[in-house]
Amino acid sequence: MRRGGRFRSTIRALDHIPTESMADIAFLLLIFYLTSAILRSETGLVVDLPRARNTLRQPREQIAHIWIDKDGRAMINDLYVEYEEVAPILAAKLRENPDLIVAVNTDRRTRYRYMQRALEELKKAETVRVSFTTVPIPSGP
Amino acid sequence: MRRRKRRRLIQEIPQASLPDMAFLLLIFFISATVFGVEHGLPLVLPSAKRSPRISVEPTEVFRIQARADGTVMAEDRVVQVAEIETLLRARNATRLARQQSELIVIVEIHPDAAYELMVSILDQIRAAGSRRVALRSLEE
Repeated sequence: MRRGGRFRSTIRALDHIPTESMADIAFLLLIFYLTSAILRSETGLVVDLPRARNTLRQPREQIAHIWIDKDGRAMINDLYVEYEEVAPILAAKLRENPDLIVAVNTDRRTRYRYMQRALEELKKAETVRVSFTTVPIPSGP
Repeated sequence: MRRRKRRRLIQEIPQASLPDMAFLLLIFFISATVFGVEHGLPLVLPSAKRSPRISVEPTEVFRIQARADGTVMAEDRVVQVAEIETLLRARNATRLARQQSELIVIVEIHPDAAYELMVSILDQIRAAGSRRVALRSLEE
């Protein structure tokens, strides 16, 4: 309607912030966190990982883990394995997912000879993409 | 004479505190959730089927040796691990200025050397920007 040459605004300003949908938003976020939270992760071996600065983030969904403790014991899928068993297990995993990255979680005090044996097995399994899991050192100022 | 109860039965479940409960749970999950980001030093291993053997000139190689006692040698002289990045950068810069290809870094590690030493060396190599890396075992 036009009055005095001006249009009257038909939109009424709300004098309060609508909070009716707050509970819905909260539940929505809650469901997101419930579904995406990792409640049980692989336990693996207790290893003191080495630290490195120039690390890369690895896509979790494409990673198979090997754990090697400071005494050289190896573990895959929460089970202790002999080094000779590593190649067949990984070869089976690679058949399912050829883009698999094998993350080697080795204790920083482990002798290189155990790492070398693990790498030999990875080569036998035709594993190409390997990641040496490390604890990132935050880049300082 | 008995008093009449004035308490009235509530016909519906009270929902006023529902958003509070939802937010409480939300805060708990936000603070407790681990999204599981993994960090690592990537390396591409040679494949017997896919990678043919190649021969390289000694001048194209930057050799790093990690001894069992923890000493590190780069190009036949003892160095600190932290020096590797600078050395490698300088060598690669010289080669690039002469329009030569990037150096191939060969890391030779003694079987009794600590794994941490290997990771520190790889970290330095990555910092120097080198991507052509080979791992070898030093003879005992």
